[in-house]
Amino acid sequence: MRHWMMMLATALLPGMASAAGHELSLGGNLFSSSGMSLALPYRPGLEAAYAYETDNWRLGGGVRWSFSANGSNPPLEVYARAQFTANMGVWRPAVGPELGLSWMRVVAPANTGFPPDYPDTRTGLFGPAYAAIHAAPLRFAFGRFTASALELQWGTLLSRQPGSMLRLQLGLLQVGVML
Amino acid sequence: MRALRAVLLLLAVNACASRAPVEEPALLRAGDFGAGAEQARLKSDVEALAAAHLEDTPLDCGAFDLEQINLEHQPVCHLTREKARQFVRARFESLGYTVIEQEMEGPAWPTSNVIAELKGSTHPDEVVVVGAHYDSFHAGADDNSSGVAAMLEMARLAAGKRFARTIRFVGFDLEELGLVGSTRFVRELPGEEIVASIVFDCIGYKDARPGAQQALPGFPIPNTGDFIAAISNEQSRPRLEELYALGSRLDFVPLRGATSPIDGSGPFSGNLMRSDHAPFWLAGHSALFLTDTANFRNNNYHRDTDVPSTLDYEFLAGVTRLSAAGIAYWAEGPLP
Repeated sequence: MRHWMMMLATALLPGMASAAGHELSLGGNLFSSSGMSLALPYRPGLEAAYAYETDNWRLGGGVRWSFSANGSNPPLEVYARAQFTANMGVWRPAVGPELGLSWMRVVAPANTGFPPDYPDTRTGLFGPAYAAIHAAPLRFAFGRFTASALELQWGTLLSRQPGSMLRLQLGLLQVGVML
Repeated sequence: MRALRAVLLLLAVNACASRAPVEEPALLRAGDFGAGAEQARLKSDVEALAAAHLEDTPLDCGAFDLEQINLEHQPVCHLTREKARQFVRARFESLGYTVIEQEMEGPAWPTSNVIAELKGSTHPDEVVVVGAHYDSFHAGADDNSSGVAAMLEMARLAAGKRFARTIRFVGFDLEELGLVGSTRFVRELPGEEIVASIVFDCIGYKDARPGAQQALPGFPIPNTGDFIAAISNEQSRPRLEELYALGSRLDFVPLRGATSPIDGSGPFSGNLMRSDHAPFWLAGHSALFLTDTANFRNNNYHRDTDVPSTLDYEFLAGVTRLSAAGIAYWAEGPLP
């Protein structure tokens, strides 16, 4: 009993959790790309990420996979991310820029049966590169383990007119382990 | 919310801010040409087109995944096009035009744009396009029999006359399924210069009561629905300024203009790209979008209540006269 209480205290008490190290995490998210007046349905997906974390910074990258297929493109994206983080005991919020390549760009609802001529024309104007701000306000570390809920990402595909196609992503739950 | 609205207002540029000079002889010529549009003909054509839609057999909506579609916004089981296309073709032919039906295959749904052309006498490779989609949900009086009627009336005015530039009238197919006909039309354009395009979509509904006009993101407008909106991107902005200059002198109909930044496809301009002008913009062609703002003013939008009796034909006539003056100005005619 005493052993379990010690482990719990180690995990929860401020300042006792380790701050530096390599983190691997897995999570689920909801993803949407849209224009401001063309909100598309959120599509569920999974994410695997790596980060090297110090007291103030997290540097890493990852892969996202969407459950919704998008034509001939693989529903994937890969990214690199740098985040400023605050070490406040178990609470480890983080925010920072993300750059990536996405093949999940969609400009119209899928599977309606509508001809895709115009959406395909629009999609063809965008390359795969995107930039975004990623925030994890509810990220916590419990000893070697981490959990983050309701992560929020807002960004744009990089094109001749950045902002033409926005990307919005809501992270549901991301759980990780410090190696 | 207030800050967001301020940003949206900054993105929109009211065309009232700048006025292109319009030379007096060209103004008089364009004004005389536009003034010929007849309200009674417009009303008759809207009624005939709406009746054609109601008599027609809707598209097979088994081809759609109805669970993926918001049927209130897009009632695809009530979409018709065949009889309206026949009406447009017959009218073009009766006016003496040689008609081309641009049959196009695509990934889904073949389309047929109906095209009538008046070749320019001195600059035939410079083209002014007048377009309106002829497919409609339900009777489709405002959306878009009003636009088709305006196009047909302008074709009547231009028939048999000479213009320096080519005028091309196009009835676009399947706008309601995602700008299909216009996308295919633009994709197949030969190497010619589109000097100006004017695209009509919902141009016959007016409600001047305060509060009748809902706010349209990206477009600063009054709350009275008594104006026609003309929307451009940066490339088309000179045409908007010219139309505004013509409108302010000719006084056919109140006009409100907005320019969507760069190519028009910005983050706040989704509602400004909802019709057949959008493929022109994306391909780098000049195009103006004329609309009564559709569902931002007209509660009958995409409903079975979008019937001819709800339209204001004096307003529609004013829009048609202004637009006709515009094409006369851009096509440089009619010539003696």
